[in-house]
Amino acid sequence: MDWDSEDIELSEEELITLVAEAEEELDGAEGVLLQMEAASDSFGRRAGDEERLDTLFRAMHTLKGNASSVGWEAMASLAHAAEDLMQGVRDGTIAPSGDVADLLLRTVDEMRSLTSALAEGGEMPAVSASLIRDMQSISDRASEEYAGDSRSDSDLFRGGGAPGTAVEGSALVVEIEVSEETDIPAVRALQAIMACEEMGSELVSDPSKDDIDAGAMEDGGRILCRISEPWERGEIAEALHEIEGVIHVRFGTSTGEDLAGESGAESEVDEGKSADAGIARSADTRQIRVDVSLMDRLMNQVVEMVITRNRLSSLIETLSDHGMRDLSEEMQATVEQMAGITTTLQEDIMQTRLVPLDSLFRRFPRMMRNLKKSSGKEFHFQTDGGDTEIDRSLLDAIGDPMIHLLRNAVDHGIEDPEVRRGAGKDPAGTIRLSAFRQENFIVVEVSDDGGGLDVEAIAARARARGLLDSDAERRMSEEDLLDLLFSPGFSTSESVTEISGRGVGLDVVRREVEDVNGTVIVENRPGRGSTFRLSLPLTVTTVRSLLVEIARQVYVIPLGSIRETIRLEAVDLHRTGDTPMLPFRGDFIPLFRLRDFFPDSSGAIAGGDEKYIVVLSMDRRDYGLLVDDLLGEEESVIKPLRRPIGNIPGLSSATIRPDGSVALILDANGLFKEMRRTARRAINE
Amino acid sequence: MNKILVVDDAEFMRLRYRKLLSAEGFEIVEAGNGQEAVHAYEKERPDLVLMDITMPVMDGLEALKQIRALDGGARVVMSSALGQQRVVLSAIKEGAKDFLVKPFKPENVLDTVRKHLA
Repeated sequence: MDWDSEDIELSEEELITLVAEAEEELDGAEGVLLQMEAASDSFGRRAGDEERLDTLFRAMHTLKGNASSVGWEAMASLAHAAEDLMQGVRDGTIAPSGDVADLLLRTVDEMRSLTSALAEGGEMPAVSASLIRDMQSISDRASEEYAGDSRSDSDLFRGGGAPGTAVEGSALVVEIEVSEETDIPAVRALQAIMACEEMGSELVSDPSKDDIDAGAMEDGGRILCRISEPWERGEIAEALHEIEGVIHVRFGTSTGEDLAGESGAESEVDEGKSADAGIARSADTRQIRVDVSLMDRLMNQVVEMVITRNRLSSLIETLSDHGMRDLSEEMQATVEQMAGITTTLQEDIMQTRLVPLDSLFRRFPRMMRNLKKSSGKEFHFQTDGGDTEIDRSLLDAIGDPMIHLLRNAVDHGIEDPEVRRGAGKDPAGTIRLSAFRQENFIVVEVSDDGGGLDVEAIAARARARGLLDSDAERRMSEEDLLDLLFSPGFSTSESVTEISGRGVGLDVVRREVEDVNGTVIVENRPGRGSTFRLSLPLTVTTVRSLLVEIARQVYVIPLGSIRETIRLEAVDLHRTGDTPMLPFRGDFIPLFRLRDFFPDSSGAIAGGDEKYIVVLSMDRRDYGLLVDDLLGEEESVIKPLRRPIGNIPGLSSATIRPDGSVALILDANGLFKEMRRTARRAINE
Repeated sequence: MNKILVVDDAEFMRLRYRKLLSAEGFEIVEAGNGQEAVHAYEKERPDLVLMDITMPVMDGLEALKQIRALDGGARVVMSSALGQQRVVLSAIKEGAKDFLVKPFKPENVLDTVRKHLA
């Protein structure tokens, strides 16, 4: 699939996703805004306000990203203005006053009506131009007063060129085609221009009205009009289609270049007669539309059923312990039968929740095309593996991270054409989005063949931001240093470009991916590019796992991350420095205890009870975890952990045990990183 | 009920308009030339004007100007024959909302009328 594809049709699925996400972000934003309005005098200085402002900023950022990737211009322009405003508030150049809150609340209201119009397939209400203007003027005033530091992320990337310039004062270019079949095409052309005139204050058209008077358009043809007012595309299209003989309306944006060129004519979407430009619903009669919330309820019920089944099994064991062997055996057989049915049911329901990644990937060619234009960089965009299926909720969750990573690849990955030429590369780079299934994970990668990452610059940035001291740095591998990219507070792209994430950093990407029990890592090829790799669990709500006991606590380890279990007495430990090493498959791997990881955990943790080693594998290597006992396997139902617990690395989520107690699910990746970082204690026996 | 002013020097044409449009429930007012049209507009304040271009006493273009001067919001649809491109262009520039090409087809007339009265 090449990025030239103009296919930005919005399927039912995508529509639902887009709408649900917008509603979610708007709910979140509204909550913060109401607080801002109520506490305008002290807002911004109270505990947690910083986070609230971030939430708000990101909500606008997400809305903008989503909307612009499908050509939902009305939403995108509102969100862009709101995002700029929020950026100022976050930077402290704009006070979070009641007025600002009010302005943003009105914006949220408008966005809600746009969203419901999209959801219902109705006409897009007009966006209030004055609202956008009011927001812009506040932002403009603030940025005039503040000429900020504009050091950008790009200096971290070898040879990475300057990010694209802001597309300021951009106007909407409308290409109108008038059929030669119609009566007096020239008059229709004139009507079209006049219809545009009613919408734009500084209308330029080619051909002009005088040209038409002089005989242009007598046989129909194309007219380009530039409209400077922020009108909503659907509305313009509708007005134009009202005119007899208008057979095509297309949109593009212009950065002020001459309309006569191909720039306008070439660009963008074909247009449907109503609703928003380019947003169309695809109908497939073999499919039925199912409300997402119904799917979620079904899934929850199946999950409850699995829990109940597990509880029943454990009750039967008790029965057997009480000497009711015959009865319990019979019951056990029945429960197993039921288990089979539940499993099938669960798999089927999970199956219905699977959607091809294409429904997400399809959003990107258009975005990349726009990015190519605004960045001035040359690249090909390729996608691969779009038929890989993924749980719908994961699809929702990775939308933002993918947008971010792709934007980063353009902004910071691919070098300017001259730089590439100088390095002996093809002046046009390649950005590749690919997906595939790897064992129990879905892997989604964003690769570029740009300059790669400059580890030195990353370390320097981290030191400057106080994320790294020289002591820690010495102990860190290159891998660890690259990992700093994902630290909160690392990314500070201050430049306002369409492309860069403007301070919404890779930390957010990591958090969002980890929220769905996925991982994200970066692979660096100095001079040749980098790859950001997301690994996502195949299923969301249950996981085959091993139950282990450590210090009288039950922990759950997903089978997917376990290589092997070994009896401790069967091995000969070695020692490197303070870390005990386990000989494993011709290699030595480090060995850890959970208490190394939670040094303050309550309860007496006596050493010496350990009888087993569970060998876990993470992205690149293996390590051993000492456990007291192995309790058996089960299908664990994953319950997400809420912050602040959800923030603890190494603990991904929790599960409910058959007896109703809660057990924590260990995350092999996070655990390993954290262990290496915080505790390198020896096993002293 | 929407009121439509039909302006044409040909009575047959007015009849056809009247039959067609009153069957659709519109109230019809008629004028035989531009001057009558201006007077009728002033008196009746119709919701829409369907006006021929070539007429005696005062042509449609002049009547259009005067009607627009009376009421900037006046909705006027010009009817013309093919080959009158330049005049239609002027009419559009003078504020005519649309035009119909003769010989008119009933469905075209109805479509146009409905479009502008929506």
